[in-house]
Amino acid sequence: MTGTGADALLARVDALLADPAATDPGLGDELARCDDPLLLCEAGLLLADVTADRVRRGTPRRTTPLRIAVAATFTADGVEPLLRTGLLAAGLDPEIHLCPYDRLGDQLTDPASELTAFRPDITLCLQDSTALLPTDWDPTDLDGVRAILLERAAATVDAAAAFAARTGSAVLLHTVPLPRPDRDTVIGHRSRAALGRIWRETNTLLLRAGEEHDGLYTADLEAVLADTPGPVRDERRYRYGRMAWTPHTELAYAREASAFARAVTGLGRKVLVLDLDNTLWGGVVGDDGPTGIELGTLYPGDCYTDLQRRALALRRQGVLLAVCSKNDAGPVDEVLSGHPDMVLRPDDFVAVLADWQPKDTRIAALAEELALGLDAFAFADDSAFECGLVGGALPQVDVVHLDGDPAGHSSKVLDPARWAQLGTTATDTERTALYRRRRDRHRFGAAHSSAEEYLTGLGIRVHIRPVDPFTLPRLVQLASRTNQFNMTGTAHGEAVTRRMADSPDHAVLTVEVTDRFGAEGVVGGVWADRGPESWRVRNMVLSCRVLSRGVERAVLQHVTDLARAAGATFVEADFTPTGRNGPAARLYPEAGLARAHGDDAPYRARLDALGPLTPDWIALTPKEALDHV
Amino acid sequence: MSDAMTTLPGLVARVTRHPADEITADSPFTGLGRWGSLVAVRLLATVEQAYGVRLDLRHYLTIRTVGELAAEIDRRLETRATPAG
Repeated sequence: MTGTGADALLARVDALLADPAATDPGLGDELARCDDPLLLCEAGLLLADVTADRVRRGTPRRTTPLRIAVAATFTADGVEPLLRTGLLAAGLDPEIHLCPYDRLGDQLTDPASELTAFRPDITLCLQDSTALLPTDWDPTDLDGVRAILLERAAATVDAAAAFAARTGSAVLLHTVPLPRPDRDTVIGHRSRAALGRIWRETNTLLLRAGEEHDGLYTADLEAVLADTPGPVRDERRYRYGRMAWTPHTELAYAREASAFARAVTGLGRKVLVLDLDNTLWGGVVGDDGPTGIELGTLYPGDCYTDLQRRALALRRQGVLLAVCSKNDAGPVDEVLSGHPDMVLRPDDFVAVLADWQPKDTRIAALAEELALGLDAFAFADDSAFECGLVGGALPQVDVVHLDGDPAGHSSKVLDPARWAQLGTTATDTERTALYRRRRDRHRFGAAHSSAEEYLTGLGIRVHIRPVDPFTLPRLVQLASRTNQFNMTGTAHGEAVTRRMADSPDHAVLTVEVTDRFGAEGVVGGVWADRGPESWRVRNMVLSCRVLSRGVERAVLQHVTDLARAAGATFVEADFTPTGRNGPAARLYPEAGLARAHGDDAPYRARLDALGPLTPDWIALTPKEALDHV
Repeated sequence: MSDAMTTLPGLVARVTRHPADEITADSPFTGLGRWGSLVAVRLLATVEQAYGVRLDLRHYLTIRTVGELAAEIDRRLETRATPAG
């Protein structure tokens, strides 16, 4: 960025600092677009006490601060401000703790460490090559070097996995780039190939840990740096202050970590609304006719075909696709169903909206039909007018303006921060069909006079059973994605959930719902403590897909049935207002539970004082005998 | 006044948060805002990016005032502009 551009950006930051009431809703986007790590570092330092709602458009995406710890084997002070700008741009208020330098192992393993005391939601473990490679490594004994590298990497993985299991923090490792002087230390071509191999074996070990361990994830930093200008390490910074990363490397890492934070907090987008003309294909179908549009293997048609393939890949991983295009429905159907070069077909879309209504009203209506928040939506269009309209009217929507060469369109849509997810589950491949049914249900509802008549007509059945190895990943994903019906705002990670599920002192249950339109799959869960006197519901989450149907009351009925059968006298339940979980607030008081003393105490009731909770229109069908819970 | 001195105070102000109009050639770095080793490294990176020069870290760490740094930047710019030989 030029000096003037830099000064302009910092002047906007200064204006925010000068007036605590000031807001600059475009600043977050500006920070996300900026590629100058030095400027972002200064901005991030200044923004230490500024909250996300002052730099973003739309409603805040999370009201509690996100606690992020940075534990590094080298001086990583430069990462903190870059992380801050990335998180603010994502709508997150970070509380960042930088652990003492080069104490990664102690911090992870010592239960009395600063890191443990900080109680991080997310723990970033940063390693440089010297944490793995001994200072006196011998290029003529690469087998020996390999053994040490693998041992050290495994030690990091073990410490990080144990920390994740002990604390419930989501832990991010990364592949470690090998700086040039280390590569150049080996002069033989064959030996240098061997060094490359063992270095990658080490990184493969780190990557595998991110695939396999609960609560442990790995960012492939080495691969990201292939697209980053300049060296990974500036020898002057390293020798002088043990700063192992250049500012560009720090920024590349901070972007990965920010995307990870979005994934952990469930802020990845869930719906991609696509324009058609000059977005999904080249040309204008209304003018050029179904045979005249550009698709296929030749430029520029191949750019549009590629975007379709990318969208299909997103669809297979659980992103819902929809069309919103100003067109007549006839030619659009003809192309979607019949054009031989189309990759996407009608069944790939949850909705095809081809008419002449304003796109902002179409998208808002679709959000309502799907019962999804607008902050789950991304919208891609080549038209500056449509992008401006949607962005202006629906500030929560992530607008992707596909201007310029169509060869760049796929990369714009695929921005990793946009679709951040921790993992994909079996439900994701069926998500389009699930949400098509939800739209049908919405329309079915519109045809009924009373809510009760509608609900009775749905024929809702609720199945509740203990979580098992097949449903656990989906339950954890659901907890991280659910903000509205979430009793405490807490997303219990994989490690904590598995530990509770395996313990006789706890119960972890999944909730599945079916109705006349089909099965919804796992749409909710309960985490509870089973005491001899009292059962305590630590958290309950329900997907917004099944809200307003009384399912939560059937779930509470089932939990209290289990507690009674186990001989308990009381049921207790935690509730913490998060600013977004209003829909969940009424369940406990309306069911007859009351806060014993003060707002921090759990809700509580005698089990024998509770009346029936399950609504008449729901059939509650536990799948397992009670003593198996 | 050296060429770099016209723009350098703005960069120094950005990194130290010391008001630009109070920064002169005689200003010692140690008297500027939050000056310390991390700030020194940030200023080095900022200067190198802004002027497209690369400084010798050993020499940079001996520089005491803003004016001395401006002179060093000018020297580097001249060396870069003069063809070798």
